Amino acid sequence: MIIAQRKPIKEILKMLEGYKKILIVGCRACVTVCCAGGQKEVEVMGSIIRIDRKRRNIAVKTIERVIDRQCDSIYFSAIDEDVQESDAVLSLACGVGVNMLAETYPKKVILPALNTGFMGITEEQGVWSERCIGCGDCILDKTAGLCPLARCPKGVLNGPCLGSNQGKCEVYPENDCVWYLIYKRLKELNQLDKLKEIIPPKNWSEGLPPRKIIREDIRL
Amino acid sequence: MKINGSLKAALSKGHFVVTTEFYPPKEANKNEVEKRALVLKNVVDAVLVRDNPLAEVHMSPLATTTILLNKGLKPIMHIGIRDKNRLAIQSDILGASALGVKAFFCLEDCHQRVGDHPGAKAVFDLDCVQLISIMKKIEHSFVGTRINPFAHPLELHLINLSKKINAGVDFIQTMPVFDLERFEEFISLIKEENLYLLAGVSPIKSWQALQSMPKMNVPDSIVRRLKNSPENKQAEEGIKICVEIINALKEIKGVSGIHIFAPDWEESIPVLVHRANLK
Amino acid sequence: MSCTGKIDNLTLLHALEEGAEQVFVFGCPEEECHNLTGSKKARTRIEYLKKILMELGMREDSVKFVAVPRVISPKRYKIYHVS
Repeated sequence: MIIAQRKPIKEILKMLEGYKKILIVGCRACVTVCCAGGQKEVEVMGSIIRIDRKRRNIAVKTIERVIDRQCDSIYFSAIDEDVQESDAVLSLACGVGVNMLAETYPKKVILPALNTGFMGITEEQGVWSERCIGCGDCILDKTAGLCPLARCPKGVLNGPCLGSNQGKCEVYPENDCVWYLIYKRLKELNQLDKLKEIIPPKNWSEGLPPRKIIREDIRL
Repeated sequence: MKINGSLKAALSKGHFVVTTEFYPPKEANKNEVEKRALVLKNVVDAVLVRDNPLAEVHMSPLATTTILLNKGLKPIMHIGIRDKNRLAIQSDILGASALGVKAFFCLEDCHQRVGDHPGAKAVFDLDCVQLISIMKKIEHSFVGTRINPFAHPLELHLINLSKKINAGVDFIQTMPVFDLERFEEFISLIKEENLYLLAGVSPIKSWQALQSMPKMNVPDSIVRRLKNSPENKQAEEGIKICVEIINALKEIKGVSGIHIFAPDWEESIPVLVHRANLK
Repeated sequence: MSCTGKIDNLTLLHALEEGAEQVFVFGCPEEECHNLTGSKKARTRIEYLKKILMELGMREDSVKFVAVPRVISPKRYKIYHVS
């Protein structure tokens, strides 16, 4: 899923300067799972904004809502009226949701409360880490299902690098070296030969923005 | 002095070569390069010109190499993988080749976060295995890379080395050697005959300097020798230790030369070469 | 509340929003937490809240965790209301 985290409060409050009716809208998908933009976070955000305005004696009206997803405009019907009523919409969704709102409501000010990060997993409660960079040309069949582009800071396709030692990463010593993990897994699977194959330079033509996928067989 | 492929020629004739790490200046300083070149010219067989080492901005290796060539030195040009994509890298290889450089080098560079521009966007479009293949496309090119003989698990690094060999690598340099016993274990695992191995050596300036060096597998006996020397005698002890290691390496079958790491202490290089009877 | 481990930052924020100058959270000392990790969780959550409050320009001690051995109840403390 997409992992994001809340922007610094100061930055958010600065963005909201001058707006009197603020719709705070969260999302029940990825950002709820990574505790950045769900029901709880929307309520906390509302309270923070009201405390800030009260301290500075500036009036504000906040509306708090959460919808299933912000990456599909069909879910916006539930907040349509609130959007029209507000001066600014503070979205607690990932960047995709913010874009979707902006495209759907071109006459409204749409602001991002989050910094969207990466595609990843929950390692444990409160800890999320990157697992896929969306390169568009998956090589996980060659690396026992572990992605070197997402987990090696040098993105080497024929690893490990010179600095890998004791199974740890040279750049982030608290992390395991993903090439060490790949080596261990391939060894266990009796497929160490895969590690001996040279992976050629990556074809990035499907890996860079702006990307689009079209399925003619599905289009109406 | 012939420049084209003469490092290759020296190695193929069985000459015990001496190469050294060369960090270009951090400012646009042609004079400094020329001054250093004059000292190193009569002391080492070739100079490895590094590309933005330690992820810090330095004069470009192509410019530095050109200055060195004009002073009659034999440069090995390092091309980093962190700062350039495959087009820029090939452009540099062609440029260097046109100027007469045949010896090239690659290693997996320091990540930008440790350097002077931690917020920079890194490239890493090619890795070393892929880059070696590209460098070998230049006719008569002589290509090297680096390995850490003390890394664990060694099997993983040797598999990686075998890929570099398949890609055509001609010589390898090792990270500095202090533990000769472990180094000999490593040598016994390298059976490839067409691969020249240059053992890394590094003179330690002081016990203080040792503390700030990256973990380099230095045996306790050496640590003690430095620690127990009075502060003003530690540099001398560091040189002594290095010379002893060089002399031992000369006797190990499979070692074709040494690569001196002394970027902060270039003055020590002529001393080491002289004391170890290398020229 | 049966344990400060159940403390929710939203509750503390609401108290501040409604006009409280300071919010005290009374709980077992960390090493003596009756439920083992409750006090520790409360403390980390309050640390997180403090960072938010400081970004709002409020005092760091707007929220405070007070360690109180379980046998003594906060009712026995005098609470002074400052208006």
